[in-house]
Amino acid sequence: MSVVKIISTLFLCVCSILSNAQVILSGYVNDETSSSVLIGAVVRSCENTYGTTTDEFGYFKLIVDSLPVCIKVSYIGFETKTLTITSNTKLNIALKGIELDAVTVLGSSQNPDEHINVTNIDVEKLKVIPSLTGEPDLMKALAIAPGISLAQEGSSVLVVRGGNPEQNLILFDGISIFNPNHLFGFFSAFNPSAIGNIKVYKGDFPAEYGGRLSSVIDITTKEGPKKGYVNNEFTIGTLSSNIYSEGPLSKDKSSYAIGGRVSYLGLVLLPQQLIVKSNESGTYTNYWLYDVNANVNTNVGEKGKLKFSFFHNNDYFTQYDQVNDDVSKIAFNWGNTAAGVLYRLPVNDTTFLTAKINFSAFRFNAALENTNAVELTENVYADNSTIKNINASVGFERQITKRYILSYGASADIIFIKPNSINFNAYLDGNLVSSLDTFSNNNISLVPWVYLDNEVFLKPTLKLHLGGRAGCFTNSGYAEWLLEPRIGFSIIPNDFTAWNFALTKMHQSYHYLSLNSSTLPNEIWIPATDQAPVETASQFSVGWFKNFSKIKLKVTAEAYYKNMSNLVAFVPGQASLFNTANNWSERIVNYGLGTAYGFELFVEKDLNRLNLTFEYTYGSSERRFDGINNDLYYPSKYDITHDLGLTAGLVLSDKWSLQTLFVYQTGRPVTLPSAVFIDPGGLPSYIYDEINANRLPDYHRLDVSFIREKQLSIYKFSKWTFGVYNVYARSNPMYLELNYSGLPQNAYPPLGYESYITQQTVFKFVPFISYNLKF
Amino acid sequence: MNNIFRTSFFFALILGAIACNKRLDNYDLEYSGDKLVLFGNISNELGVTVYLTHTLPPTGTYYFDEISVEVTGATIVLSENDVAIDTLTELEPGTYFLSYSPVPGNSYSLSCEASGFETVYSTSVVFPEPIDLASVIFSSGFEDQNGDPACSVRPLFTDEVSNDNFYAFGFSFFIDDDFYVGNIYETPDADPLGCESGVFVFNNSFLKLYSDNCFSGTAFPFTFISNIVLHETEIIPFDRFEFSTCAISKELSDFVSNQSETSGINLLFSDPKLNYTNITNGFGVFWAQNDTTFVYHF
Repeated sequence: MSVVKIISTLFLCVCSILSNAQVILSGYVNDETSSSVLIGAVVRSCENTYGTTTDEFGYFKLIVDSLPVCIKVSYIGFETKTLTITSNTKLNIALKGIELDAVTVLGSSQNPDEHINVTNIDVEKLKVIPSLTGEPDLMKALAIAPGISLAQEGSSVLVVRGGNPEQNLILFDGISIFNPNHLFGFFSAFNPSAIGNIKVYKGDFPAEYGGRLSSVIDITTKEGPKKGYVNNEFTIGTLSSNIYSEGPLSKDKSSYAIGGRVSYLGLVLLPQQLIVKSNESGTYTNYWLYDVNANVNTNVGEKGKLKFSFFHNNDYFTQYDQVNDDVSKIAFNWGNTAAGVLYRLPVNDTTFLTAKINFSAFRFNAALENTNAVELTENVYADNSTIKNINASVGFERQITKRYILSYGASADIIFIKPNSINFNAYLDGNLVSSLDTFSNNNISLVPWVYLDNEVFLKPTLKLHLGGRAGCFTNSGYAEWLLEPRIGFSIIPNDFTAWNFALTKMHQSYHYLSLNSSTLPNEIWIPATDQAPVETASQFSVGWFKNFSKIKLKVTAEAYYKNMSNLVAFVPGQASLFNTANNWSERIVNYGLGTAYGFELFVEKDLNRLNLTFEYTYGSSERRFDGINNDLYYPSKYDITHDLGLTAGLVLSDKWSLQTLFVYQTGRPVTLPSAVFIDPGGLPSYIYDEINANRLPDYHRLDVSFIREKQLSIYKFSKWTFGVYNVYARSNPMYLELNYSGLPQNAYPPLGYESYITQQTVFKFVPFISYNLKF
Repeated sequence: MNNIFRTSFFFALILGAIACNKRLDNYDLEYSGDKLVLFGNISNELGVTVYLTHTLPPTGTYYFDEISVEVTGATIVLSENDVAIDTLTELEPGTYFLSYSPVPGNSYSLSCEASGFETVYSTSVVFPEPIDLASVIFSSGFEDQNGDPACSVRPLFTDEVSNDNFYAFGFSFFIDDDFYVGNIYETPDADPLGCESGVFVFNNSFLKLYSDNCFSGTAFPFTFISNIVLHETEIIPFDRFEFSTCAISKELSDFVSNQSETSGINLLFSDPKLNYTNITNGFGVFWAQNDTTFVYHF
């Protein structure tokens, strides 16, 4: 009987939803001057009771009860426009730019529930957050959001809600990028000048996204103007220079945007290299890096839009050491190449088609060479890993009624993985005496998906998000069905308050092997197999948002619990690189478990010339693997109990502004010995009996930057940034080292020994400067 | 624009120079408490020897004449196939001995009681069969890579891979009857499969350990040894060299592999591993060793 009642109620609800009369407004929002589309512009009813935002093509759909209707269109840095719409025609709304204060965070007019589980910080705001080198680093700046932290000091690698960095799906114009970082992760490979919008989903994931366990970081590049002048931008900073250009290709039809960065770290280190080479003795290190990104946007027909995107980055690291006749050289080289095409077409007033095809590849090469000029020996190791992904997808978004949006689509991924292909050659007097070539199998996986997403307002104050993804992973005879329900429920009692409850499941069909203890580069991706099945994560989250608009205060509070399974780790003690002894499949521990839970708080206060944000996260993240830590749970290396961030932006004058960032974090877990004994050879031997049982000292720092902006002429605009990272010179540890030395010094055999801990601090009081010119 | 480049170059130099290392004397590294550390060996040539010490806090300054790591007055009992055989005698502080001839195939274990410590037990170890060798070729009269006088040994194996043995080569360098650690260099073509699992010094012998499956009826392209050792502050030739081919029980192989994996360069490219021990309630290792020793005089 009860089942009949439920079905009847649901039927009545659906009928009620479907039967509402409605008018659908749709169109584009763009820049009046350049015709560039504005991504994330807010389109709302004048009473602020409902609204929407534009997508990556500047397109929006808004359903209203009847005509005429009053709507407001706003975007950061542009005048808000109020329009009265009398007829249901396609809208093309052009906004006029205004001069923007560097620290202003325009009150986002998103729907209140869109503040929960999603971080949607204005790129312009992220750009002024003080950064290590003075150049904006948008990935790093995202860590000011709750639930997101940096993998380590100075890093731009993100950790979301107790997950691992590789569990973040990083999309660059819809293309998955495997490792978008330079300099061992110290700064992001994404050119800040090129980025138009960043959106981070931490939970309640839309069904169109999948493939990783912890988050979706959706980055959209800026579209160049389709009319008017070419815009150029040049930035010179402490570590690198950046050039960016955008402009029309064909008036009102197509545009381009291209940017590139190169570091002069290699030039700074070059003199030492030349000295060592000429002396034939000593040690040098060198480092070269660059990145390039480009896109072309064009209209196709009257309604369709096409976007070509390209991204490429590369890092080269070399360390050379020569002592007498012995020379050792170690080199690392890694980077991504990605390209894709995105096509969007409004099929009719209520249906939108999106089709994508893209390619992404990541390579990591390590080489080790030891030569001896007297013995005429040469040993050369090469360790190469690659992962490539080809993805094609098609999706539809249909506004069924004012209160019901239906999204559905399909995609397919082909993944090529070649992990840890090792080549070893030993030469004696130039002749090959020993050779080994192992594990170079190219592994191919196929993952087709379909998805369905329903977003339904059951009542004006109750929103249901019900959907899911279904797919199948196949790889060399191993196949697994993947089902991912996505359920979210929002209560929106008024325009300023929302509650959200969400339950999601995610899968990840390739594993990433990283070291628990080391910060050295180590980029090995391996496919899911029957021995190491597809990783899964289930997450439950609850969130509350309140906009105290009268006092310009916004508060978001969220809590989450996440379960992960089928995680993979290295067998402890097994070398990750240059290991010719075992195939990678024999060097992993599989079926690992993980749990993470936490509470997040975000407060934003706007005081006209002063903008303040406060972020606090309490979190716990643990892992468990058979054969590690006596099979007991241990803290993940990304387990940060307390994470606090405070930003303040103050407009000092028309030209000058001040930005500060304070960060505090509980020290990260590390494995250190709990005792020592003297072995029969008379040497101290350390006892490790628990993984990650110790912690680095707590981490905190204050960064300050002053920004001077000047309009040099109508088309010329300059910006100087001066500042200091870690202004009170706190010795924050990058890692701890255990040292021992015999006593007294240089005595043999020693009469005793001394054992002590040292910490390595890398970034202690780092002044920075950068200059940006737009012309 | 020149100014911009100059300033940026200056800041890049600063960035390269800012890294610093700081000693943390106040870091609270929790000590797991005093536990017994037992290194015990049962050998066909040397009977049963146990070296008994205790653990210390992981950080601090220790002079061997100021701290007493050896544990004296302990009662250590040897059992064969779970039957108690005899109690070891303390020869000197912390060193216990029992003259006994083990039998290949039998299992042996130790129990150890010491005042102030939890009683420790070893899990039993099976005494291995001796290694089948065809011959050992010894030569001398040449120089090592540093130009010092050197000698070499080349054992020729006949045992099969399927025998599932664990091996060690023992090197003992003597001047009169005093043991010294000498220099051993492997020839460039030695150990192509990376079979060496580590080194271990015990009871006047320097052991180089190898994992299983490395030798199958072949000559091991070993090694040359400097004829000299460090004697107090002088470098002088040794007068006696003992070379042992040892079949060892798996426990020592596991212990030494583990030790080498939790220290040194391995930590750069691998995660730390918890210590291996077959001593219940304590640390260390108890193993069996079937030696065939060759003695060379100079």
